Amino acid sequence: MLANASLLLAVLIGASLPIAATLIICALLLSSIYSPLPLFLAASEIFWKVSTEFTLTSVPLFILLGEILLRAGIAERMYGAVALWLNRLPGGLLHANIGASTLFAATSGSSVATAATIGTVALPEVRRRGYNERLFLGSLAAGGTLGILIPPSIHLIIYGMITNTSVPKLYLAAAIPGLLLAVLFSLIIVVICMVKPGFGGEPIKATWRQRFVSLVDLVPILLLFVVVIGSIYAGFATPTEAASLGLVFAVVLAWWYGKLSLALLHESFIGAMKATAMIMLIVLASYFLNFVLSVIGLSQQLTSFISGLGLSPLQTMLVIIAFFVVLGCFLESLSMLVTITPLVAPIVIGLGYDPIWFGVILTILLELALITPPVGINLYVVQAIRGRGSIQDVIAGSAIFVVSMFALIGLLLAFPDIAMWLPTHFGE
Amino acid sequence: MDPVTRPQGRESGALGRLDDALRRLARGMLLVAGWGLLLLGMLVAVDVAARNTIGRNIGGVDEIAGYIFAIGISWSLAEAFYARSHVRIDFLYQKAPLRLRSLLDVLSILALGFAAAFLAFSGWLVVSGSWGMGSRSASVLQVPLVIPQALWFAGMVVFLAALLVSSLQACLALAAGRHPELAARFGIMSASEEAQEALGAREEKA
Repeated sequence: MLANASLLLAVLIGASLPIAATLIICALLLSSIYSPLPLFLAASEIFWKVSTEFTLTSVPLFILLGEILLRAGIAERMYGAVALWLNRLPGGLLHANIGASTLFAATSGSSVATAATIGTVALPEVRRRGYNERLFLGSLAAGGTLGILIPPSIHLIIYGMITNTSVPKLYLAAAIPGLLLAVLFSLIIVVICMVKPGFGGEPIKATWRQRFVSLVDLVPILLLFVVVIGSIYAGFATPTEAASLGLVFAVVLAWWYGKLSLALLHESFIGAMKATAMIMLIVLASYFLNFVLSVIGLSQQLTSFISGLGLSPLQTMLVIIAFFVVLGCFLESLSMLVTITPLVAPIVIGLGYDPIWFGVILTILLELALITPPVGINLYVVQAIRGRGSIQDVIAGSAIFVVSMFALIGLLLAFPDIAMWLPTHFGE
Repeated sequence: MDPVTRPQGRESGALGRLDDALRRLARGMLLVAGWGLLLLGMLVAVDVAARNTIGRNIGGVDEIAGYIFAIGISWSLAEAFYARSHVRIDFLYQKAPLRLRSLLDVLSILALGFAAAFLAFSGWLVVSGSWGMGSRSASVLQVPLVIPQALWFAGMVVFLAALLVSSLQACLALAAGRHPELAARFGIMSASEEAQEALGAREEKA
């Protein structure tokens, strides 16, 4: 049963059928083969219940918030300011790429949006300042992945829904690892630029006066961060409420910068609702598939298969991580999140790992999936903005940052408190 | 619409007009969904403000937000299809020759059409169930559930209609060997198109 189901999924996905359709077709086929009950009748209730789920409404709100920020030109101002502050580090603008991605990630829940936004602002500087192009491209693709780890993250909301864990706690847990990953990215850049000074390009000159003046451009993004994440951490708003406050704030910002118009709103609506429809169709389909998988006993079969291997918890975790790394080369991160999490999370929790901690690990693995070929959307986004040369440059440049991701996973395995300290001390 | 993507011939004339009408409808419904989302955000924000100032909620906001969300999703499905936003994995597709790609494109539309039909069927079960039982929400609002559910269902019907018309057009194009047209309208979005998407309608960089 397990083998048949995996084969069916692999064939349909490999044949490039839409993921949502693949999941529904699999669910219907498996239920008709392995269950005497008309399981398809249960879909109606699942679809309506998931569609009206209040926590999930935060997903489109965060996406719309990001779309409005993108069009209000806040990223350009922010990048300039970050570049002035980080200019002394060996590697100059490479750190601005990571830093600006980190800041943007702290207001946006999507990695593609982060990579696209920072990429557009930064890429013209590669040639002008003589940076090593591969490393520069890699820093953009990798920096962009921070979008799904640093709160607010859409992936963590969906993970929280699937595993029934608290989204605010997940956000607390992801904060330190998210910042740590940004630091690890920068560390790699520093090391490379010390060994090969030519990679770092021509430095930007900045006076303290310029730096302090530039702070004005960071104020809106920091305020937004306080509104969105602060209100969740302080416990006075749920993720949906925080996203709503952030959305209203973003509209006010767009108005403040004189960018608010009907056209801006409509463009933002189109971007946000298309993404929402795409994401939610996959989420709905995966809820139905997972219902079918658990009724026909496949989920349980997988659990007993894994426990039958007789591995220690750590070995099992390593197998799961390896599995995600390989799968991440071929699957897109959201599809991987919704199809695999419901199967793997019970196993992990059964081994005694905390679901909140695993949410952080899983998100880092999904970040990895964003920059591993052949299917790694951030690679293509950065390449597309660059618009010349070969995709191989982006792939090669990103490869070194994979080391940081593995290092972070290793650190989290050795010291789970990196993720768990904040939620244990400040949750509730 | 640009002439390349416009189906030709007498037969597809009526089909073409139906397609145009559905595309306009889908875009309109998506914009309504977008305004709904903005309204939802403002409503929830006011609710939080009320709770933290006068100490009480407006009441029922969660529930209404859920309805707006559900309707917003289903009303955006068709436009997401037209914009080729529904994710497909393309690592094998990329390597396939044009004819095989066309076949995969047609199969994909049929598969998504099947999913849309199942969605609409399930939506119908929800609506007809609530209608038959006269269900109201278990909250202070006592909303007759058939109202939000019928609107939710309407989005699925449009999604299904969009896919039926497009399936027909795609099959005709495949039969006539119009591969470039198929690729342009129903193929997987290339990376540069996707990046442009993510950046929205910003001007091309100089």
